Amino acid sequence: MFSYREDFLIGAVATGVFHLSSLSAVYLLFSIAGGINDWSPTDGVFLATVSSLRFALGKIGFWGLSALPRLIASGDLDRVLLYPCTPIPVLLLRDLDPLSVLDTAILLGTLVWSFPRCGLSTLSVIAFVVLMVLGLVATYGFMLLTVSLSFWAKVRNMFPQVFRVLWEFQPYPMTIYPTSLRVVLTWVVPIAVAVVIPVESLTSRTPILPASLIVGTAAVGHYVLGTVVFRVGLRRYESTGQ
Amino acid sequence: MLRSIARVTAAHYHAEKCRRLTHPIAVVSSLLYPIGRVAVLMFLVQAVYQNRNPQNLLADYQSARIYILTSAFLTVTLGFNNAAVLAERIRSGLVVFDLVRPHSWMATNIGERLGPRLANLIAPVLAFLLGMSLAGYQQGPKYYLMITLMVPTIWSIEFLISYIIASITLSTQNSWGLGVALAWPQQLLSGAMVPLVLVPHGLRNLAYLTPFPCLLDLPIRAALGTVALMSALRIQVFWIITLGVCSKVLYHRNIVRIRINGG
Repeated sequence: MFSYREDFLIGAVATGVFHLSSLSAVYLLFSIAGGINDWSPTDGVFLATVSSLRFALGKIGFWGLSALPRLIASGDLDRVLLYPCTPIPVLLLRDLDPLSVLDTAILLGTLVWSFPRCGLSTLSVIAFVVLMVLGLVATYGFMLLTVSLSFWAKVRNMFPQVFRVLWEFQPYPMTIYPTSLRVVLTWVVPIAVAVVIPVESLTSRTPILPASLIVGTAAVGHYVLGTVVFRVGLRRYESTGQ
Repeated sequence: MLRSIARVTAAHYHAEKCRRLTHPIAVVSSLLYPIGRVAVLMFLVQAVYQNRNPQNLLADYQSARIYILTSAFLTVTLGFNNAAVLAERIRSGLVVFDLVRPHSWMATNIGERLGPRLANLIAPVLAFLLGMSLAGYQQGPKYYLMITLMVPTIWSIEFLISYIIASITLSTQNSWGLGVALAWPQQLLSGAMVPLVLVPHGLRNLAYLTPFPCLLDLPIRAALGTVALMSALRIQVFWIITLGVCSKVLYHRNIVRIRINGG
């Protein structure tokens, strides 16, 4: 990607086109409806941008975890375990994606454009940033949990794919989904916790205190669960592949 | 040319069938993402119709939902966004093996795409029919026949778009970037992300300046009866001819740039 200037430019344009297309689709859909459940088109774009930003930050920070099922299946996890440090940092850093920095820069620009201008306070902005960080922790923990199940899966671990599919529910207001699905997307899988609840607290749709309790609980719970499952799985790893 | 396409298609069809037998879970996992996308779009469209007076919208609720199900089925079955796959063979140098085969590069690529698609047809068809019946949409045989009739033209247009991108890759290394730069506007303008039946006429006319609506929007509207079948086919044939000429010109211009280094 960085070897040739024109290749980098093509990559940069492709990233911009990707975000422009997906955010335009959101704006168009919300405009056709004249706003969805008191979310204006700009609010819809802001929510979708925050969702994409969370994804881009995840790609910078912890996307290397997605390689774990493949490493376990092939037995190549041995090479990671030989490093003179704990395996998690090695997994996180091995697939670092520098193009996600470009992603993040483009999305921050859209974020500024669509940022809510009314009803904001310093406390709500600080709470939003803190809740976003906690949401990333929850996503990291849950992702670690899903990939760690590969230590037990004999054939193929489909949980990371299921988690990836559920991300598609993230960029939209939770109020469009039925109650049962909302419960799953909040308490079972950290979809609402990572994006929607922080945005709702920023825009005063949810009070800050209950939002903080929900996101904080989910972050701690998913992080602890993911770490425990990973460590238990690592103890039973036999280096034989599948 | 046709004989080459048939031979390559048959070879890849049989190879894919064997592969599916050893990895049946792959069949299920390949449907997960489309099912998730359809579910999200269904909820979104439901919210649109709840928030806006349905009489102010350009299509009725049932048509919009049938549109979403059919577009997901066509996307999975026909396998859009093959540009990066085609281009990667050029970027990696594996195109050399394609060029020395006793089949033209176009025939090889058509067969490599078509064979696996035919082998993987059953699961998406069953999922589509199940989805339509679960949703309670009793479309007559004419609807399914019209969709089936337009599959060759849809696939031809998508293949030619991918082929053009792949030909451009002969001049640049970044196949991934070109594929992504194509894929997302294709999804937006074809109606995969937002059903074009809901979009204002002005924006829809802008989309029709590109070949992308011919992939999903035009065939589905023809099947729903809002566009005449012959008009839809005429537009698709126009784009097939236009894209076919462009792809031939680009291929012959760029193939001379290939340097095959041995040793």
